[in-house]
Amino acid sequence: MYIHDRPPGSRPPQAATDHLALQHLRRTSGKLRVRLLVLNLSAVGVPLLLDLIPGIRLAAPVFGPFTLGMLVLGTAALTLVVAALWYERACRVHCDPRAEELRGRAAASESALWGRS
Amino acid sequence: MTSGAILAAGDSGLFAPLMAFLLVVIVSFLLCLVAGMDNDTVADFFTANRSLSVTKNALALSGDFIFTTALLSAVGAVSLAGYDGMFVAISAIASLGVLLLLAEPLRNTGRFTLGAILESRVTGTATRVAGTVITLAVCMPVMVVQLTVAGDVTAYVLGLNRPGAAEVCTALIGALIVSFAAFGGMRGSSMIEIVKVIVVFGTVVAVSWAALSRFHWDLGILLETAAGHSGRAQSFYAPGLLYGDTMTGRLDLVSLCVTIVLGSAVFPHILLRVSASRNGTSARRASTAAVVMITLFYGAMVLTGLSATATLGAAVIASHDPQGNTALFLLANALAGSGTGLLFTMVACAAFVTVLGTVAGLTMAASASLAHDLYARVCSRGGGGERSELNVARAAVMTFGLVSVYLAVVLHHWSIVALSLFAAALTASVILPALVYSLFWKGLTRTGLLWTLYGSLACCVVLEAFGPAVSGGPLALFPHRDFHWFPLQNIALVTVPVGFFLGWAGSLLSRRSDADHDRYVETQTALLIGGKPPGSP
Repeated sequence: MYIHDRPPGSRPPQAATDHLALQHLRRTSGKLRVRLLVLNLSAVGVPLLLDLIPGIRLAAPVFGPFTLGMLVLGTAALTLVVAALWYERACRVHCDPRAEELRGRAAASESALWGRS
Repeated sequence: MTSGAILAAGDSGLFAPLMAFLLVVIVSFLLCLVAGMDNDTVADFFTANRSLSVTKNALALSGDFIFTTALLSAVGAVSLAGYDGMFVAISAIASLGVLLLLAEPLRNTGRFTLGAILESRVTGTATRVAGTVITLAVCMPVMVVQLTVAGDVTAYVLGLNRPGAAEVCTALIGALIVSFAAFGGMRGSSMIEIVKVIVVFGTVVAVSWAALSRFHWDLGILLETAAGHSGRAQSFYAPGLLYGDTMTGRLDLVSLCVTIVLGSAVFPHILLRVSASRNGTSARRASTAAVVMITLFYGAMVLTGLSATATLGAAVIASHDPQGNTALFLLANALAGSGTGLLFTMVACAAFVTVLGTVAGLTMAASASLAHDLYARVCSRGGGGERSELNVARAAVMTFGLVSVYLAVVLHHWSIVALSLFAAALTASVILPALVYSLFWKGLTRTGLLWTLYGSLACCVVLEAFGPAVSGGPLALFPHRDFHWFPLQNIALVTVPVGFFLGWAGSLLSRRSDADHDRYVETQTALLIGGKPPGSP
């Protein structure tokens, strides 16, 4: 066994646990942020592309007086709002409790969390 | 002639609007005085001691997002350009998505000025200086435009149409607003923003309600009538009315959307607002609530714009102002039946409070940068003391505000509305890349950051100076001269990629110091769980 390996069954030191928890939190929040970014980009990107591609009749009525363009923009607005609400909920469920836990531990021993171990 | 000058040419000197107007001014001033009593420390003055609740901060954040140009130009754009105007409204909503991505890490840095946030990643005072330069370059043009509009709206409400009346109103109202900011600090500014949101939302809902009731609550009839009265029934709901149906026109529209989406969220006063949240979680929640509120606001603005076209016709709106900035006033007049109507009064008050809130926020951001970054950290190297920094902050508020008022008076008859878009392009091309790299990119170096800040600023200035917004058109800054070679009125389509490229290239070509590496490690932890890293200023 290498000298720095932990013996089987033993608990990792606090600094290492904090470091792992921090890495996990970083990955989770990063993933959520990327998903929100993709949703927002799609919401704005689709109308932008339709605007740039010639030949697409955005003024064509598709539902009563509502045109294709209006439906695309309406969907974009809805997507932006739903994405924001989803992001908030996801952060509240997946990130906030972990961040709170780490914050509590940081108050006790700051050095490990701030990368000075 | 500016749109504001056309506004001022109206004749509506009326008792009720004047009284309501004065009431709003007095109430705002009292709110500032009461709220600003506790401004004893720098943290109190600039961030309200980070004590704002989620609800208050969400309301204030929504208020910060509603510029005067957003209130007046959004209705005008929809009423004259139909689909393109709606697209611009969607872009404004999307910009809050950008803020939502950045709000929590920004607040978690624990800093409240642009220079300080950037300095949390790299060592040295150069970023503080650069942050101050960029903050002033962004805030000053917007301030001048907002103050010009404030003077015009006041002259319009008071029925003053003599030469020079709008300039006098600009000077008086500007001085009043600046003193609000100096007394109130962030607490006062937040109270104004909250009042602003309530007044503006109430006004927009009331105008939309009155307009829809005129069309018997039938959205279909409203849409068809708007298209019919637009003068271009076939193309009103198709792209191309704002900048023309050419490839350059379409690219200009895309560039405008890029400007709004990426630029609106990172104005210095929005960064200051985010920093006034209690913690990162509160900042994120406030941003989410703001997304919902701003979506409702722009939905009502689109309805109002379409109602303006359906009620008045695009030709009438364009004859008052080619950009449609008076459409909201004209619609309120038409719906009320006469200038004495409650709706007209509400719109006048909403426009004034909008200017008041925006100018107060911008003044605070500029003075924070001057006092906290330039004076406290660069000039006196942190040895000036808190009392002295607070005094400098109040002096900076007055100096910055009065210089802006002077410029607004001098440039009153110039077509300066494009300056607002230039400022938004600056934030999108300079501040956003710098913040994204600082918060999320490990490889950023001090050189890369400075390249982004100064290189992108230079790029923006050159393209704007040689674009059609400055010369070569009837609505340009110099309408009788033509030295433009850049085809787009909105420069962000080029300058945003340049900003990101410069940061990447500068970082690649330079070496990151060990101190900067340590700072990165510390910042990454702070961004996730909040709190100030030990040893940071």
